[in-house]
Amino acid sequence: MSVDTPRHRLSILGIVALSLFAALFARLWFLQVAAAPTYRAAAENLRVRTVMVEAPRGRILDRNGTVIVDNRRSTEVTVDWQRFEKLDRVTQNQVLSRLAKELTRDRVRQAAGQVSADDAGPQLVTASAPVPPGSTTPSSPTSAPPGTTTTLPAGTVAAPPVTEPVTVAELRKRIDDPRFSRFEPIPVAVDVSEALEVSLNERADDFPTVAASRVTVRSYRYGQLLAHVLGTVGAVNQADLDLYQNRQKPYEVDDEIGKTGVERLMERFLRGTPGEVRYEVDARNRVVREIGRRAPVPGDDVFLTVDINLQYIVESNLAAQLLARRNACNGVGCEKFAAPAGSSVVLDPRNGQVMAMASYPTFDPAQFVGGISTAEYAKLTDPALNYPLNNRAVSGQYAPGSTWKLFSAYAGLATGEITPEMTITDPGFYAIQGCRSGSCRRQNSGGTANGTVSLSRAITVSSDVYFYRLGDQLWRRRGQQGIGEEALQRYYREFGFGEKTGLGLAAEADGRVPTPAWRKDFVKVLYKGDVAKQKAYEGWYAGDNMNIAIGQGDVLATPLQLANGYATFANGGFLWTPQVVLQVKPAGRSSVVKGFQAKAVRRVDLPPQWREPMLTGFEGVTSQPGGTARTTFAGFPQDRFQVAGKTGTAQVQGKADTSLFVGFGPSRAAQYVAVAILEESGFGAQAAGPLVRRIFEPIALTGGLTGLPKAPVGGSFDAAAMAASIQAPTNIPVDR
Amino acid sequence: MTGIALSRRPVASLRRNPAAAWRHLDVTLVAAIGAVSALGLVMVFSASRGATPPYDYSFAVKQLLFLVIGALVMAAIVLVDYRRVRDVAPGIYGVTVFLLAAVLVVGSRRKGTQGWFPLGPFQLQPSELAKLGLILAVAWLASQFGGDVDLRRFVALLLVAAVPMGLVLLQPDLGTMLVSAAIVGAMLLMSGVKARYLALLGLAGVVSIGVVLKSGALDGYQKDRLTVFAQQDSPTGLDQSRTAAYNLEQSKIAIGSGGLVGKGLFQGTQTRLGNVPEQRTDFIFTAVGEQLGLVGAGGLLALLSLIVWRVHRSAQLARDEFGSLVCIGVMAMFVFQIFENVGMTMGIMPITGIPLPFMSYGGSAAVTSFAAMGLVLNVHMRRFT
Repeated sequence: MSVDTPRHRLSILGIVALSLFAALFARLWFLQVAAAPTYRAAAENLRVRTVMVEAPRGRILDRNGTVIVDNRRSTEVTVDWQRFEKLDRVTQNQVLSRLAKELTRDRVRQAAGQVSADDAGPQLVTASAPVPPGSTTPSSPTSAPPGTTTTLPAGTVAAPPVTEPVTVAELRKRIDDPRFSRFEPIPVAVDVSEALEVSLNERADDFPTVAASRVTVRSYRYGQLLAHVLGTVGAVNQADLDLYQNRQKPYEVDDEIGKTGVERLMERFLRGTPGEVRYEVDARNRVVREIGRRAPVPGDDVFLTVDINLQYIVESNLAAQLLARRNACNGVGCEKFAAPAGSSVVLDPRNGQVMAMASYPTFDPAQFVGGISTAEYAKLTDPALNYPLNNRAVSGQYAPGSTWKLFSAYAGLATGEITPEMTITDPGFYAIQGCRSGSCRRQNSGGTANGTVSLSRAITVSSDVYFYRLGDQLWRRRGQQGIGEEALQRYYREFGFGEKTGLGLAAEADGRVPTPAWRKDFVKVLYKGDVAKQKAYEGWYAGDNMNIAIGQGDVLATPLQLANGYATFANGGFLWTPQVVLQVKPAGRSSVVKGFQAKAVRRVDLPPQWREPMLTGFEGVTSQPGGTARTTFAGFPQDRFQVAGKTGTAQVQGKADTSLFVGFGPSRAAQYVAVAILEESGFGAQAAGPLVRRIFEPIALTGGLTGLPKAPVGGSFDAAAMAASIQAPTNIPVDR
Repeated sequence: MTGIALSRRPVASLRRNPAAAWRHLDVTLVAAIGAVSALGLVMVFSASRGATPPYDYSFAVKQLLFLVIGALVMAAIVLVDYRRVRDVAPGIYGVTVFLLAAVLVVGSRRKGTQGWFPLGPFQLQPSELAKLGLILAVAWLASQFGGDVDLRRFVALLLVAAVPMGLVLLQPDLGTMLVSAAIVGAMLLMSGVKARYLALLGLAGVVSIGVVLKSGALDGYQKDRLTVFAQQDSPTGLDQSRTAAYNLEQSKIAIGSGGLVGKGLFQGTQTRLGNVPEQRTDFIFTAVGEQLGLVGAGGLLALLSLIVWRVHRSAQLARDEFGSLVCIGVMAMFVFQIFENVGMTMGIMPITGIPLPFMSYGGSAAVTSFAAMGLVLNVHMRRFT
């Protein structure tokens, strides 16, 4: 500052200017050289938008390659956001108001049955759809035709289509919904009629930016058949996304995803690989041009272990049998059962494959296509309608009743408490040893005295006394080496009870093998805070052991567990993990992507000297005098296909008995194990037994599955007519 | 200089008057102005033509018109001896102050600023022209003092400067106000004001900026633009929903993605797809950075610094104090505008609505820049007469 002249000051200004330029250049260098890669990537991200093209889902086929779930083409109405956005507000509103009017009219007409939403293809019989080819009698599936006196849960009848008017506000909300990609047409209505499609295309000038286009949606060739196993599809939600991170097959809003059943279990295979179109877009997200595209690849075909023809037999007869029980008459008089629900499973004991699986009441999976209404969904989960959505075969837990005696007998043999040769005298009741207070006597059902019974005979006639004694004795011997408090339970678990089978379908239940320890915990929860009650009920007594020995008390098993337990006996001791999926193949190709081999959980030790007399006992059930299902199987071609089995009649508090039957055959080389469990339907031999008989009969007569009559496309059957032909066997031995 | 010219072209020098003003025209400066204007025209076209055909030529055509008008204004100013301009400087000053006052009453508003006269299809921004009025007035008054500025004269200079600046601030047009402050600061420095006065003035300037930001004089949008650059690399990150933050991010992406040699003319995705808001006006530098890369943007900075150097040199060579001060004012105006405009596109300066001379689309700015250059060329070519 010593020489402060104008000249100096000018130099200072020059230097300031120079340094400012240097600063700019330095920053420019940083941005364009050092940070360039980052910014280049950012610019590319801003430039390119990738639009997914959803691929068709894979098909679901039965074990023989019969297509059960396919894709059909449906017409949807879309609005092109890209062009819609460029219209002025007035035009937008005009278009939407016209569109709302047309859509409402279409809904009303569809509801009135004047037009149909589907192009050709087999469809469920409903009020608005034509009768499918191949079904001669127009009947609604699993429900009675009008005029019958039966009362069926309303949930099984197709609900009339809703005809609420479509509003402009509704349409605009949909179009403005930011969850929809703005680079593909936004769907505003699905399953519209072909008439509307034609009309929209003809009047394109009135409907700028609106288009009707064909999309593929799930199509169920056999209607409601196998619904619980197939499961449902729906729009993907956040919970789904958390579960199914799939890099190759990413999901977008409104994409279809398997929600339940095999659709869920095999989601990774069924989902197609989405194609994509890459667009260049401007700052306002308007498409400038297409950069590239990749075609979608359809999902893989999933082959089930189920035989659709057998499934048809099982499912139609289950519905018919329940219907018949609601109107049952026997020699004594007419006793009407509630018979609201039931389940049946057929397994191949050689490998654990599910050949058929039915649960009643059932539902129509087509209801879920394109989204199910809240009202419809409420019906499917309504307790008053017996939860049609529940798959009772895997999630229903029942007291197994006398069918449980197989496993108790095994426990008796394994602990040495009984031997095949040993006999006891069955006077019709059993007195608990050392009992001094309370009810010390337990009766056979009906008080029948069976006389001298061996193991075989005890099974054939279902002697409760034999198994009461077993339960009592094992409890008395609980202090002995190798017996313990869980002498029975240990062997029940051997057969897979008390844990999930591992089939893979969602909502599978564990069942329950009650133990003294379980009782203690259970009582604590049941009587929370009430110590006095806890103390009173926490004990496990001889009576409890006796109860579980005959499949009562707190024992619970699912139909699938029961079938699998019997399969283990039938095949000589292999407890398989049941499987419902046979293999996966790429669409339209024969190479197998993934085959599913039989997987053994464990080998149960079943020496012939134990198994043989038991087997004789089970054979006797359907054929020997005194056999609990002898009448039920009277006239059955036992020479061709010998059925071994066991009846069960489980008491349920406050309700009629659960009717159970487990059969397997041919008994010496079993290929089929069939379980039937019918709620509130009476004796095992009266409801469940006849159902298993009608499942085995066609197999016995035709010598296998290949000769079974073909299930009709559409899967419909006349349950009422079938029920009318069912006569409950009379004069059966009273059995618990 | 003259001697060299004589020896190079002896015939011409014999036939013509060697002292003729036009012979001393700063051709380098004119060439640099021409080059930057041409580049600016191409860049305005690339930033305004749209993503797809049919391309929009309207902005490019209008910008060409502005450049032609500007060049004509520049030529007209060059023709008149700057000393005659000096004599009417108070009048010019009066007119600009009048216009600045009038625009507050009858002007039209844009983005919170009342600063435009609607003239048919065009908008006249008097605050642009006012910068020239300010330069001329301060130069005129300071040259009257002849380098002897005591406190009273210093205050007088400040008052002359404060009137138009205050009016500009009322619009409020903070950008132009800041440019004006830079102009006045530089001119005061060169007019011989004592260093401690200048230091005090600088302090007052800093304080007043703080007061303006804190007070309600600026609305949220303008304040956001000013402050967002300070937060761009903060650990919490920028809130991209803020317009200013979005502007800055898009701007930096455009420049950064250009890399060393750029993406090529019309190949810049940020530019072509319209991702940088206000690109053809305030953010025109991003179009250069993206399409022509470091080579092009660096070249543009070189050209601009060449212009500044020639102006600085004219200030040095000027025959009188008025001429020198005018050049200093113009230089300060250019340096500040270039640094502020280019700096804001790269995130080292706050975002304000200051155009890049000869590059940004806009008529008032173009005419003002050319007119300023006309004054500098005038001073330079008449340094011997």
